[in-house]
Amino acid sequence: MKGTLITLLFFVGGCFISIYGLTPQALLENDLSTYALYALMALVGVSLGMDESSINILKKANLGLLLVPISIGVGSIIGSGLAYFLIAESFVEGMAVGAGFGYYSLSSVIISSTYDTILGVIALLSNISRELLSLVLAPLLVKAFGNMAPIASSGATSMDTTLPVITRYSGKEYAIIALFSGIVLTVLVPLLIPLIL
Amino acid sequence: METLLFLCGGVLLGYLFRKRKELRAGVEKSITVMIWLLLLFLGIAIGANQQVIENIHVIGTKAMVLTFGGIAGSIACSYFVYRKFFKA
Repeated sequence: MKGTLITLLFFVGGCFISIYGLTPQALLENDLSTYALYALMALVGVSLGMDESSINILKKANLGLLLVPISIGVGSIIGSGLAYFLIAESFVEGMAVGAGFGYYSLSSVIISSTYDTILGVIALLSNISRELLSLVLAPLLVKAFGNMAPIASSGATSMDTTLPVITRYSGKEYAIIALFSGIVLTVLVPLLIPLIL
Repeated sequence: METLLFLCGGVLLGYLFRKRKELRAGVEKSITVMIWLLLLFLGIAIGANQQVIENIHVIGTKAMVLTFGGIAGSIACSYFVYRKFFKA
Protein backbone atom coordinates (compact mmCIF):
# COMPACT_ATOMS: atom_id res chain seq x y z
CA MET A 1 0.00 0.00 0.00
CA LYS A 2 2.83 2.38 0.85
CA GLY A 3 4.47 1.55 -2.47
CA THR A 4 1.21 2.20 -4.31
CA LEU A 5 0.81 5.64 -2.74
CA ILE A 6 4.40 6.62 -3.49
CA THR A 7 3.89 5.51 -7.10
CA LEU A 8 0.67 7.53 -7.40
CA LEU A 9 2.32 10.54 -5.80
CA PHE A 10 4.92 10.69 -8.59
CA PHE A 11 2.19 10.74 -11.23
CA VAL A 12 0.07 13.38 -9.44
CA GLY A 13 3.23 15.39 -8.80
CA GLY A 14 3.99 15.31 -12.53
CA CYS A 15 0.48 16.59 -13.34
CA PHE A 16 0.85 19.53 -10.95
CA ILE A 17 4.34 20.37 -12.20
CA SER A 18 3.11 20.81 -15.76
CA ILE A 19 -0.26 22.42 -14.89
CA TYR A 20 1.57 25.13 -12.95
CA GLY A 21 4.17 25.50 -15.70
CA LEU A 22 7.06 24.33 -13.56
CA THR A 23 8.31 21.77 -16.06
CA PRO A 24 12.11 22.12 -16.36
CA GLN A 25 13.28 23.41 -19.75
CA ALA A 26 15.41 20.32 -20.30
CA LEU A 27 12.28 18.14 -20.11
CA LEU A 28 10.36 20.31 -22.60
CA GLU A 29 13.18 20.25 -25.15
CA ASN A 30 13.99 16.56 -24.95
CA ASP A 31 11.73 13.54 -24.82
CA LEU A 32 13.48 12.11 -21.80
CA SER A 33 10.73 9.59 -21.10
CA THR A 34 11.78 7.59 -24.15
CA TYR A 35 15.31 7.28 -22.84
CA ALA A 36 14.01 6.54 -19.35
CA LEU A 37 11.90 3.74 -20.81
CA TYR A 38 14.93 2.36 -22.69
CA ALA A 39 16.93 2.37 -19.45
CA LEU A 40 14.07 0.72 -17.62
CA MET A 41 13.74 -1.97 -20.28
CA ALA A 42 17.45 -2.71 -20.18
CA LEU A 43 17.28 -2.99 -16.37
CA VAL A 44 14.29 -5.33 -16.55
CA GLY A 45 16.23 -7.37 -19.11
CA VAL A 46 19.24 -7.61 -16.81
CA SER A 47 16.96 -8.67 -13.97
CA LEU A 48 15.43 -11.36 -16.20
CA GLY A 49 18.77 -12.52 -17.60
CA MET A 50 20.15 -13.03 -14.12
CA ASP A 51 17.15 -15.16 -13.21
CA GLU A 52 17.75 -18.57 -14.77
CA SER A 53 14.34 -19.97 -13.76
CA SER A 54 12.35 -17.52 -15.92
CA ILE A 55 13.06 -19.42 -19.14
CA ASN A 56 11.43 -22.55 -17.70
CA ILE A 57 7.96 -21.09 -18.27
CA LEU A 58 8.44 -21.60 -22.01
CA LYS A 59 8.62 -25.34 -21.50
CA LYS A 60 5.06 -25.28 -20.14
CA ALA A 61 1.67 -25.10 -21.93
CA ASN A 62 1.93 -23.81 -25.48
CA LEU A 63 -1.82 -23.72 -26.04
CA GLY A 64 -2.18 -22.01 -22.67
CA LEU A 65 0.35 -19.36 -23.64
CA LEU A 66 -1.48 -18.61 -26.89
CA LEU A 67 -4.83 -18.42 -25.10
CA VAL A 68 -3.55 -15.70 -22.75
CA PRO A 69 -3.60 -12.75 -25.19
CA ILE A 70 -6.68 -14.15 -26.97
CA SER A 71 -8.74 -14.33 -23.78
CA ILE A 72 -7.47 -10.94 -22.64
CA GLY A 73 -8.32 -9.36 -26.00
CA VAL A 74 -11.82 -10.87 -26.19
CA GLY A 75 -12.58 -10.02 -22.55
CA SER A 76 -11.32 -6.49 -22.95
CA ILE A 77 -13.36 -5.74 -26.09
CA ILE A 78 -16.60 -7.35 -24.81
CA GLY A 79 -16.17 -5.87 -21.32
CA SER A 80 -15.72 -2.31 -22.60
CA GLY A 81 -18.57 -2.68 -25.10
CA LEU A 82 -20.91 -4.00 -22.43
CA ALA A 83 -19.95 -1.29 -19.91
CA TYR A 84 -20.51 1.46 -22.50
CA PHE A 85 -23.84 -0.09 -23.53
CA LEU A 86 -24.95 -0.11 -19.88
CA ILE A 87 -24.56 3.70 -19.67
CA ALA A 88 -26.71 4.04 -22.83
CA GLU A 89 -23.84 4.55 -25.28
CA SER A 90 -22.87 2.65 -28.44
CA PHE A 91 -21.73 -0.95 -27.88
CA VAL A 92 -19.52 -0.78 -30.98
CA GLU A 93 -17.80 2.44 -29.87
CA GLY A 94 -17.15 0.86 -26.50
CA MET A 95 -15.61 -2.19 -28.17
CA ALA A 96 -13.31 0.03 -30.25
CA VAL A 97 -11.97 1.84 -27.17
CA GLY A 98 -11.58 -1.53 -25.42
CA ALA A 99 -9.53 -2.77 -28.38
CA GLY A 100 -6.91 -0.15 -27.52
CA PHE A 101 -5.70 -2.57 -24.79
CA GLY A 102 -3.97 0.32 -23.00
CA TYR A 103 -2.00 1.35 -26.11
CA TYR A 104 -3.34 4.91 -25.79
CA SER A 105 -1.17 6.75 -28.31
CA LEU A 106 -1.96 4.53 -31.28
CA SER A 107 -5.60 3.73 -30.45
CA SER A 108 -6.60 7.37 -29.90
CA VAL A 109 -4.92 8.48 -33.13
CA ILE A 110 -6.63 5.75 -35.16
CA ILE A 111 -10.07 6.44 -33.65
CA SER A 112 -9.88 10.24 -33.87
CA SER A 113 -8.60 10.27 -37.45
CA THR A 114 -10.81 7.53 -38.87
CA TYR A 115 -14.00 7.84 -36.80
CA ASP A 116 -14.60 10.61 -34.26
CA THR A 117 -12.37 13.10 -32.43
CA ILE A 118 -14.24 13.00 -29.11
CA LEU A 119 -14.18 9.20 -29.04
CA GLY A 120 -10.46 9.47 -29.81
CA VAL A 121 -9.95 11.63 -26.72
CA ILE A 122 -12.06 9.19 -24.69
CA ALA A 123 -9.83 6.38 -25.96
CA LEU A 124 -6.78 8.41 -24.93
CA LEU A 125 -8.07 8.95 -21.38
CA SER A 126 -9.45 5.45 -20.99
CA ASN A 127 -6.30 3.71 -22.16
CA ILE A 128 -3.98 6.01 -20.19
CA SER A 129 -5.97 5.26 -17.06
CA ARG A 130 -5.89 1.56 -17.92
CA GLU A 131 -2.09 1.66 -17.95
CA LEU A 132 -2.02 3.76 -14.79
CA LEU A 133 -4.54 1.60 -12.91
CA SER A 134 -2.65 -1.52 -13.96
CA LEU A 135 0.57 -0.09 -12.51
CA VAL A 136 -1.07 0.98 -9.28
CA LEU A 137 -3.44 -1.95 -8.73
CA ALA A 138 -1.04 -4.77 -9.67
CA PRO A 139 -0.41 -5.96 -6.09
CA LEU A 140 -4.13 -5.88 -5.25
CA LEU A 141 -5.09 -7.71 -8.46
CA VAL A 142 -2.60 -10.50 -7.74
CA LYS A 143 -4.09 -10.95 -4.26
CA ALA A 144 -7.70 -10.94 -5.46
CA PHE A 145 -7.57 -12.75 -8.82
CA GLY A 146 -4.19 -14.45 -9.06
CA ASN A 147 -0.94 -13.90 -10.94
CA MET A 148 -2.52 -13.51 -14.39
CA ALA A 149 -4.75 -10.56 -13.44
CA PRO A 150 -2.14 -7.77 -13.81
CA ILE A 151 -1.20 -9.13 -17.24
CA ALA A 152 -4.89 -9.01 -18.24
CA SER A 153 -5.47 -5.49 -16.94
CA SER A 154 -2.23 -4.25 -18.54
CA GLY A 155 -3.24 -5.41 -22.03
CA ALA A 156 -0.72 -4.34 -24.65
CA THR A 157 1.38 -2.45 -22.11
CA SER A 158 2.47 -5.69 -20.41
CA MET A 159 5.39 -5.86 -22.86
CA ASP A 160 6.96 -2.57 -21.76
CA THR A 161 5.63 0.00 -19.29
CA THR A 162 3.81 -2.36 -16.93
CA LEU A 163 6.24 -5.29 -17.34
CA PRO A 164 8.33 -4.24 -14.31
CA VAL A 165 5.38 -4.25 -11.90
CA ILE A 166 4.06 -7.53 -13.32
CA THR A 167 7.49 -9.09 -12.87
CA ARG A 168 7.59 -7.79 -9.34
CA TYR A 169 4.13 -8.84 -8.14
CA SER A 170 3.22 -11.87 -10.29
CA GLY A 171 6.76 -13.25 -10.25
CA LYS A 172 9.61 -13.46 -12.74
CA GLU A 173 8.19 -16.65 -14.27
CA TYR A 174 5.27 -14.54 -15.55
CA ALA A 175 7.51 -12.04 -17.35
CA ILE A 176 7.69 -14.20 -20.48
CA ILE A 177 3.88 -14.58 -20.53
CA ALA A 178 3.45 -10.83 -20.02
CA LEU A 179 5.91 -10.09 -22.80
CA PHE A 180 4.28 -12.54 -25.20
CA SER A 181 0.74 -11.36 -24.42
CA GLY A 182 1.74 -7.68 -24.70
CA ILE A 183 3.44 -8.18 -28.06
CA VAL A 184 0.46 -10.05 -29.54
CA LEU A 185 -2.05 -7.47 -28.26
CA THR A 186 0.11 -4.55 -29.47
CA VAL A 187 0.16 -6.00 -32.97
CA LEU A 188 -3.62 -6.51 -32.84
CA VAL A 189 -4.49 -2.88 -31.91
CA PRO A 190 -4.08 -1.32 -35.39
CA LEU A 191 -5.81 -4.35 -36.96
CA LEU A 192 -8.84 -4.65 -34.67
CA ILE A 193 -9.92 -1.01 -34.22
CA PRO A 194 -10.59 -0.33 -37.93
CA LEU A 195 -12.34 -3.72 -38.17
CA ILE A 196 -14.66 -2.88 -35.25
CA LEU A 197 -15.58 0.67 -36.34
CA MET B 1 9.39 -1.92 -30.75
CA GLU B 2 12.94 -0.65 -30.22
CA THR B 3 12.29 -1.02 -26.49
CA LEU B 4 12.53 -4.77 -27.14
CA LEU B 5 16.12 -4.32 -28.35
CA PHE B 6 17.01 -2.79 -24.98
CA LEU B 7 15.20 -5.60 -23.21
CA CYS B 8 17.07 -8.27 -25.20
CA GLY B 9 20.37 -6.48 -24.67
CA GLY B 10 19.62 -6.37 -20.97
CA VAL B 11 18.79 -10.06 -20.85
CA LEU B 12 22.12 -10.85 -22.52
CA LEU B 13 23.97 -8.59 -20.09
CA GLY B 14 22.12 -10.09 -17.12
CA TYR B 15 22.87 -13.59 -18.33
CA LEU B 16 26.59 -12.77 -18.57
CA PHE B 17 26.54 -11.43 -14.99
CA ARG B 18 24.21 -14.11 -13.58
CA LYS B 19 26.85 -15.36 -11.15
CA ARG B 20 27.23 -11.90 -9.59
CA LYS B 21 24.33 -12.32 -7.15
CA GLU B 22 25.33 -9.22 -5.15
CA LEU B 23 24.20 -7.03 -8.10
CA ARG B 24 20.56 -8.16 -7.96
CA ALA B 25 19.36 -5.90 -5.12
CA GLY B 26 20.76 -2.85 -6.93
CA VAL B 27 19.05 -3.82 -10.18
CA GLU B 28 15.67 -4.25 -8.45
CA LYS B 29 15.99 -0.87 -6.69
CA SER B 30 16.93 0.85 -9.96
CA ILE B 31 13.81 -0.61 -11.59
CA THR B 32 11.60 0.88 -8.86
CA VAL B 33 13.24 4.30 -9.23
CA MET B 34 12.84 4.24 -13.04
CA ILE B 35 9.14 3.40 -12.66
CA TRP B 36 8.72 6.45 -10.40
CA LEU B 37 10.55 8.65 -12.90
CA LEU B 38 8.41 7.43 -15.82
CA LEU B 39 5.21 8.04 -13.87
CA LEU B 40 6.39 11.58 -13.13
CA PHE B 41 6.96 12.08 -16.88
CA LEU B 42 3.53 10.60 -17.67
CA GLY B 43 1.94 13.06 -15.23
CA ILE B 44 3.82 15.94 -16.82
CA ALA B 45 2.67 14.86 -20.30
CA ILE B 46 -0.97 14.69 -19.24
CA GLY B 47 -0.87 18.00 -17.38
CA ALA B 48 0.55 19.72 -20.48
CA ASN B 49 -2.12 18.30 -22.83
CA GLN B 50 -4.76 21.06 -23.14
CA GLN B 51 -7.22 18.74 -24.88
CA VAL B 52 -7.16 16.34 -21.95
CA ILE B 53 -7.36 19.10 -19.31
CA GLU B 54 -10.29 20.99 -20.89
CA ASN B 55 -12.43 17.92 -21.51
CA ILE B 56 -11.55 15.97 -18.42
CA HIS B 57 -14.88 16.51 -16.61
CA VAL B 58 -17.04 15.86 -19.66
CA ILE B 59 -15.42 12.72 -20.98
CA GLY B 60 -13.59 11.46 -17.92
CA THR B 61 -16.56 9.50 -16.63
CA LYS B 62 -17.15 7.77 -19.96
CA ALA B 63 -13.46 6.89 -20.17
CA MET B 64 -13.43 5.40 -16.69
CA VAL B 65 -16.52 3.28 -17.41
CA LEU B 66 -14.73 1.88 -20.47
CA THR B 67 -11.54 1.32 -18.50
CA PHE B 68 -13.25 -0.67 -15.76
CA GLY B 69 -15.28 -2.64 -18.32
CA GLY B 70 -12.13 -3.55 -20.22
CA ILE B 71 -10.11 -4.47 -17.14
CA ALA B 72 -12.95 -6.51 -15.59
CA GLY B 73 -13.71 -8.29 -18.88
CA SER B 74 -10.09 -9.18 -19.57
CA ILE B 75 -9.47 -10.44 -16.03
CA ALA B 76 -12.68 -12.51 -16.05
CA CYS B 77 -11.97 -14.02 -19.48
CA SER B 78 -8.30 -14.80 -18.84
CA TYR B 79 -9.10 -16.22 -15.39
CA PHE B 80 -10.34 -19.43 -17.01
CA VAL B 81 -7.08 -19.78 -18.96
CA TYR B 82 -5.14 -19.08 -15.76
CA ARG B 83 -7.06 -21.75 -13.83
CA LYS B 84 -6.74 -24.37 -16.56
CA PHE B 85 -3.14 -23.87 -17.70
CA PHE B 86 -1.12 -21.89 -15.17
CA LYS B 87 -2.30 -22.13 -11.59
CA ALA B 88 -0.12 -24.64 -9.79
